[in-house]
Amino acid sequence: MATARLPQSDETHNAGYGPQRAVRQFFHRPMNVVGVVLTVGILTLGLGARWIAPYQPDAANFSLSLALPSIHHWLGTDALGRDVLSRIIYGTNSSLLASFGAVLLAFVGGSVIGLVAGYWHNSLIDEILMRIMDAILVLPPLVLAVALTFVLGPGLANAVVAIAVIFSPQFARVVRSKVLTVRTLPFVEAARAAGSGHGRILFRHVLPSVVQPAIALATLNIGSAIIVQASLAYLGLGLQPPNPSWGFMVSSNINYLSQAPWLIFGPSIAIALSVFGITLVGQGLQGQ
Amino acid sequence: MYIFTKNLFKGDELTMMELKNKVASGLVGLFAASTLAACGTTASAPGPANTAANGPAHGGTLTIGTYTSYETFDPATSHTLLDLQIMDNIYGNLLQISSNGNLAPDLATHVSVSANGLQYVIDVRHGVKFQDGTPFNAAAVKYNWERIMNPATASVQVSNLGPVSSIVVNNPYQLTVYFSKPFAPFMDNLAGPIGMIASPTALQAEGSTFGSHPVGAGPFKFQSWVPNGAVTLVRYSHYWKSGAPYLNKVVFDPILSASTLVDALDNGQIQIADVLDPSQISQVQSSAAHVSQVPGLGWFGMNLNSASGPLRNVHNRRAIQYAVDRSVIRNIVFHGTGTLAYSQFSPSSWAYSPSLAVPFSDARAKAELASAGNPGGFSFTVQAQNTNKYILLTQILQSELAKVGITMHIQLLDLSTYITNLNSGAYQADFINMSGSLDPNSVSYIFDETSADVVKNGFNDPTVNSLLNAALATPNQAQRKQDYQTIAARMLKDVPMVNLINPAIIVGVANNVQGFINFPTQYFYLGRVSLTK
Repeated sequence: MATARLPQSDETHNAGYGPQRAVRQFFHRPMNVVGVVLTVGILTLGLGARWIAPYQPDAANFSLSLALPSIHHWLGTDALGRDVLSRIIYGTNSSLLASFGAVLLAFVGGSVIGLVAGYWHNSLIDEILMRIMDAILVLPPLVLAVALTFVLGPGLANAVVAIAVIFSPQFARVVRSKVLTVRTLPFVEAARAAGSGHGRILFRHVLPSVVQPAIALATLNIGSAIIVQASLAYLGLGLQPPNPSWGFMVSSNINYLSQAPWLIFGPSIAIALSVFGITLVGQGLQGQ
Repeated sequence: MYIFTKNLFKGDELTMMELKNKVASGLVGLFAASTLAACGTTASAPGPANTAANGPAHGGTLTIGTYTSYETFDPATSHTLLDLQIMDNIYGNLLQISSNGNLAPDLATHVSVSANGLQYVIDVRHGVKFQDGTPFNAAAVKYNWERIMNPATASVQVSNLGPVSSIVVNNPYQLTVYFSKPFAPFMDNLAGPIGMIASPTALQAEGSTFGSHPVGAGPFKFQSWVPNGAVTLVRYSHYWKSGAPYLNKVVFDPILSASTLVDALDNGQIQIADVLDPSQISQVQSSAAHVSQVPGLGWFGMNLNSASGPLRNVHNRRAIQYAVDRSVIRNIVFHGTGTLAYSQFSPSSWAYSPSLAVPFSDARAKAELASAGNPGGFSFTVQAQNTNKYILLTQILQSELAKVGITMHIQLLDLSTYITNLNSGAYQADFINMSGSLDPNSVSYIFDETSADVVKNGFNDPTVNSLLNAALATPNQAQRKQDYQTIAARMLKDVPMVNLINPAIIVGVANNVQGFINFPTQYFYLGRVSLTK
């Protein structure tokens, strides 16, 4: 069977001169470079917020309410006189933490569900798991995320769980369909014949062959997760005040749009650039 | 009794309806008997003349943009202020509030009260007809009030009517109302929803659908109501004030969004914006419109639960009071509108005491913390609705309290949970936005009287309780004023709540609107309003 040799050949390919060539190819495309620069920049801002941000994010100065952008406050101040730039920089943390965390959770949870359902194909457990996944898929993702966060209670951790739930069916579907092809391949049959248990077969033999598309999916989903996270924060369901988050900065300052537009532009641009950057990286990786 | 909120925290409005139901059940039967003598009170000042310079022009359509849609136009069952604003024009009122805040005759020409406060004699205007031709008279008033008192009506106005024992029609134009216990707010309430008298013929004919086909004796006749949309009223040509009203048509259009409301005012789509959010004031273009502000009768404050925890200690409550800079809240949250509040009575109320205040002082706050036995501060959680204004407000308070060592955690809740917790006392601190009606009893009793308390904040001061009940029982306003001021002073010391702001009523008015008066009650009487060409 042609497909039978594929994992094998991939392995030799990657083990040899592949990685360097792949990296070279990746950086050969200008959009990928843009994506990497943006992503690295955002990661640096987030991880280094403490050293980079000029002010504490919740340091209020009531006499400096809604100050214009100036040399002291590059992006001005909000209604409480807090430095907008510092809040955007600190807000990177919650955005990245929430989106990476949620996608990681969805990746792990969805993959396990996909593995189990695919391995025991057409069994009761497959039916139950996949019908649940279908039920989640059938609902509009943002509406479901809002409903879940509402039930769990507002907060960053609950927002992460909600985003993970709405993203997990995609991973489950992708992994399950891949498992369906892999489970009948000779090396799986061989493992079974050699007396391996289900757990060993699933995680030692099946998992490595099916995880690749899930990883690609994960990189693409991070961008969407940032948007969903910002939307939840916009609705007041994410990180709670006074902690800064981009989506919440937009919603809480929308009333000042005509008086102090810089309050909205900063976090909006931050959301747009991070989604753009991470999505470019994801697409670049998928194109490999 | 109205607890609402429109000007600032629009989400509260439901809270208030919720509270009001409690009020209706809580107030009845709690009126203390009183032996205080009282002098007869009489309302007889003439209403203000229209203010147009060259005599009002007739004709035209006035469109009013509102921030929410409407429920019912049956005065016995309406919950919301916006309904009342429209109903004031359909029904008129027995008494009216003049621009200086005093009571003035409208459909009632004279009201007198007996010395013991148990009998009110009301004379009604001669020769007035309801919009369906039914004569307006004392029997119609009696019919309306007995309908409110009938439990089958499930009227929310029972508490405004008070402990009425019987209503007797003396002659077609005079009735006497007998009370089982003195009920001082009755006089002020005649300018409220119970003063809105519906046509008995229409009430009988329409039955339960009367709320969407209202008939009164006011300046404007109900024409149409698009569900969730505009309400149109047209000029009632046989209105008792000859010549009035001046407008042909009045449209109340729910616009719902604060910024759209301002745009609509600026581009002439509406002539009155009811009401403006303080954040939108700067958007009103002076060439098209102006902003009319009047101190409302309501109050806004942080409610502290003294039943348990660190807030049980009065010194800790005082520390919060000292550590909060009300002017910062006024400037940032209320955009410089409203007045700093140190009691529940606003500058528009006759119970207001201008000398009442506490300084903003971190040093005093720290001294109180030391007296409380926790000089390093303490921590508590405040509950607030999950809206931008509350989020802004709580962050300001959090930052101010942190300066003296008090840690305030913020818990943002959806409206229904918030109300449930508020009414059951399941909070350490939260916020109340009360929009008052004319009588001071309406903004104080249900919060301060221990057995009537709808917010369960654990406040129990026997002196305040007896003063509140005494003020309810005597019709002597001078005595009542003294009682309410004593109550306010005691509460400022004991701090069951930190009153922050008396919000202003902020209305946007197009420059071609003449004769509009912005009342502290937020009523919208348009009988004297005209449009310049």
